[in-house]
Amino acid sequence: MLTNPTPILHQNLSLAMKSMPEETPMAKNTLMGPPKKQMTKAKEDDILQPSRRVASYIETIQKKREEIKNG
Amino acid sequence: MADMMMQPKLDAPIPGHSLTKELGSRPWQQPAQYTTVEDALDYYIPRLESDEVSQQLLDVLEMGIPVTTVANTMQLGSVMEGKHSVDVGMLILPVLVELIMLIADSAGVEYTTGLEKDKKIRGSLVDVAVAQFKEEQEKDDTVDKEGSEPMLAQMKEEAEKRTGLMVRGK
Repeated sequence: MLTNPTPILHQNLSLAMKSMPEETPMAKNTLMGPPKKQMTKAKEDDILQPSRRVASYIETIQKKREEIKNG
Repeated sequence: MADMMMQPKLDAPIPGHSLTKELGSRPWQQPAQYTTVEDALDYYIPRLESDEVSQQLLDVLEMGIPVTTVANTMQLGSVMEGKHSVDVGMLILPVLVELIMLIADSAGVEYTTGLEKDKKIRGSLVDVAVAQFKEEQEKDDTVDKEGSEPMLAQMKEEAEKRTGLMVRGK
């Protein structure tokens, strides 16, 4: 029986964070570019996801840890 | 292991025990105090940063208790106190793990993460495991010696008793 889900949760979140596509800067003034409104709305929705917020907190803490480790 | 499985669990609650109290009389049956991840973290972070708690936390980590176990115990305790729901607890668990590791790193304390991918095992834990293995091996050796000698004598006796056409010639 699983009594401590922490390792699984942590690993799943780490994997999701690694597999997340990196944001690439897009040309804004092109005819073939994606519609601006839809993009911003989707991004806003994504930020509202609790798991995404948790991932951002983890990233911040991990950066701090790296700073401490590297001196 | 098999003996442990066979023993009755006498300290377990009897079926229906949870229904003997009025609904809502327990803290976890009330609406949670902190309903979002941010609210829950605002509750945890000042506590973890306080001198009293951080010192106890570092002591626990130095004893070799994994970070994941400590984090899970903390969130489970808060769920029981009605501070936040189980869902919020699951969401903040990875953040708690990272926070505890941050505190331990900044204090320069060695710790076990408890994550599966973590291959680094502390020396003291290896010593405990080796001692346990040796004990078990010694037990097995004594049982084998005690058990094998009478069995061999019995087999020899039976072989000598056998008669008939198909008995192997001596």
